[in-house]
Amino acid sequence: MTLFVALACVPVVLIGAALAIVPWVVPPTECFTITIPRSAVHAPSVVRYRRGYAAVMLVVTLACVVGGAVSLLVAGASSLPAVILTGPFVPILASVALMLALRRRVRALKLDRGWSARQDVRMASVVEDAPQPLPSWTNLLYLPAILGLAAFGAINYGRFPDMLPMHAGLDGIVDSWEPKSPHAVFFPVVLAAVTAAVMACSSMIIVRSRRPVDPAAPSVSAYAYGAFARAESVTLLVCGLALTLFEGMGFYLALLGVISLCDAGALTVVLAVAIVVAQVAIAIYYGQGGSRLARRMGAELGMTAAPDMPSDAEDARWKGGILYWNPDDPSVFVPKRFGVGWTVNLARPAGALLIALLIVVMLTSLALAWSGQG
Amino acid sequence: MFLGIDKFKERPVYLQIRDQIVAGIASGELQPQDRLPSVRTLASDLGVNLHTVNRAYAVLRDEGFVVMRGRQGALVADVPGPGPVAEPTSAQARKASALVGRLATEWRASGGDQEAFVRLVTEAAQAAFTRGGKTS
Repeated sequence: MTLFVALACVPVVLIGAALAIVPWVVPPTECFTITIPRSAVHAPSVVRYRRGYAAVMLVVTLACVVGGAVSLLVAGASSLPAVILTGPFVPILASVALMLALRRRVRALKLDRGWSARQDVRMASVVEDAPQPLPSWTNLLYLPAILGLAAFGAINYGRFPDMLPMHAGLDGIVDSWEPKSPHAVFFPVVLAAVTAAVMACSSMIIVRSRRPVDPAAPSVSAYAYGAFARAESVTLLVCGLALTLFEGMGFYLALLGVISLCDAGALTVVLAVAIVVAQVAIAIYYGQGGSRLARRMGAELGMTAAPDMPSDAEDARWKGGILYWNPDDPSVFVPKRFGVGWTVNLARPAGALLIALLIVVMLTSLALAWSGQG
Repeated sequence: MFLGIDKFKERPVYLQIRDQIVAGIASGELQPQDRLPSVRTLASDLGVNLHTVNRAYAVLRDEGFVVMRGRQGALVADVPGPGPVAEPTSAQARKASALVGRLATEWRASGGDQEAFVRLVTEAAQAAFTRGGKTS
């Protein structure tokens, strides 16, 4: 039972903690997606909003953990899938609701204090000398991984049992079987190919994204963003290759009796947790778009930033602080305003199409997962 | 080298882009054969329309500051190497003369005298020709 509770708690704790620190990993002049002057970053109201957000997030996370543990103790291991699937969504929804509420307060504060930009300066690097994300061709490394997995499955096809164990409960007892067939044996290869495709697309998003430069510190901010993008793309490739290989390989090793199906599943969970931990580490070290690294570099160089109020023309383009809509911006991908990573410009057809595709893939995966449970 | 635009300024954005690339070439930050960002990349990074950057590059090409090389995109044009300074083309000389003439007229219309105007022009020329270590 302790193992079940731990399995249910770990994702919720990680996600809740990662969401709680968001106000400190985004650029300090972006307070709950509203641009504020540099001189207001440490204003008492602003500090209070950030700390209040973090405190509520931690309470919500704790409540989810306690709720999940109580569900498991009362309903038993059969409630674990529901707890794992629904648990992480509560902190995410809480984060969005809190962000929207505080966004309204920051906007009111901005209006009250008369904070407004007198210029709309944008900068871009013309000569590339900042770190760059991994080039797109590195995604070809997924091919030998997928082919290797397929070859392993093909070579050992004859050694696999006639009835393949497809699902096991957390007690380790297999409760679903399927007759051996090319479809059943090579399904992990298809899954690995889909995983690789998603990771490759994510990598291309980083390459194709707008690269923000802070006019107050162009060299430092360009370098910091480049370093952040590179770290993200390297992590994506390493984690993507690990998932592509070990997810399928775990299943094949279970078929050969080297490990149990439960152990194969546990390996996937460990990998997923490692990926989340890596993302949190990047967020803490680099900050969104390299903002934390830029701040440290600026402090080391003794830089004083000017002007005080950055351009806030983009504020109105962020609907609800999360959805970016700007038909005048040719960028399909832009860095997020609240959170770490990138998002799409929904005003671009390619961006809207990608989101639609993502929703279809997610719903299909959920449907397959639930049908597997049945 | 960084290129910045200010949408609040009166000068059109495409001319702001053009001015800064010319300044980069003059200061030596941009060397002959340096590749400029693609139209899409620069437009995306600045958050401006593709046509704005296209127009800026077209102006630079027409003025002889950049050359368009198909898949390579826009490259900084070759300039005369070290040695005796080549005479600017007559078209460039006519353009510069017209520009200075217009400035002189506006200066005179606002009550300024010839001596002060020549002093201002001399100072500006000195600054332009010594910026970035390039001297003539």
